[in-house]
Amino acid sequence: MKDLYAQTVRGLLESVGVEALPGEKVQLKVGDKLRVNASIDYKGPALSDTFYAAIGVRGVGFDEILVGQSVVSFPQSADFVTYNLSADITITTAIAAKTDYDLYVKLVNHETEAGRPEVDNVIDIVSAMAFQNFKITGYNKV
Amino acid sequence: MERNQNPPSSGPRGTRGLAPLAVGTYADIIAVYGPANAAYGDQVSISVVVMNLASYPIYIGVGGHYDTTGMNYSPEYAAVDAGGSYVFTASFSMPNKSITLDVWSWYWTGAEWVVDDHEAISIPLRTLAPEFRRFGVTQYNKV
Repeated sequence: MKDLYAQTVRGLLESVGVEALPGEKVQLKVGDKLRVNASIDYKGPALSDTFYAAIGVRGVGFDEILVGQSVVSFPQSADFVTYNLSADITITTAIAAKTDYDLYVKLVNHETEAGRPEVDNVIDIVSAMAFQNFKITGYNKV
Repeated sequence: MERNQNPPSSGPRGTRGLAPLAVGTYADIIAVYGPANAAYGDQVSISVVVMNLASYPIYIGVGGHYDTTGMNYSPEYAAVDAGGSYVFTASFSMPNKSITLDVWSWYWTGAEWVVDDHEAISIPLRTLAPEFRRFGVTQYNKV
């Protein structure tokens, strides 16, 4: 019964999602999913593209390891309109447990015009969480 | 008579009567000003300059349309001195296509409005190039 209780608590703690603002760290393990949100202002003719997010390592270039994509559509507009974009990246065994991975996003067909925003050293890939020595140490009337 | 915007909705009073004559005889459209092109949604301003070719003052009005959309010019009509000219204006939001704008001039006979002159201009649609700004990661979280 004691082991079952510990297992349940572990499962609850591991399921907590942490929202991180650019620059803040997030810890992930294999099986987790990272949702990457971005925003962009657009004006011009109606346009469809792919929002692309990647975890990897910034060196001379960006060494991509895991990616996520979603289709985006911008209606025609003579004025700038703000859009929220989102893509999920599934953490697989393709990425090693390590700290300080980097993250970047782009619009696949308009990379030059829109740019490639990047946040560095924000993803830590950790091994499956482990707990030990979790026990009741005392109980008393207060 | 060609399809056109209706003449001014009412006529002025006490005007010297004129017999209907050949097109462009009294209210001569001497210029129509508009943009060289316009983007979808742009506010397009049109100015029509009409000259009174009669030897006495007459009332002149302007009407017209682009494609099937009627246009109301301001003022609805005006008293124009002999040999003088008057500018009538209108504006509209550019549709999502190139358009041809037709304008007609009218003069008042004392009893009715008579269509006189006609001009047409083309306003091509200016295609917008895609523009992006403020692209950035806002948040990332485990889901």
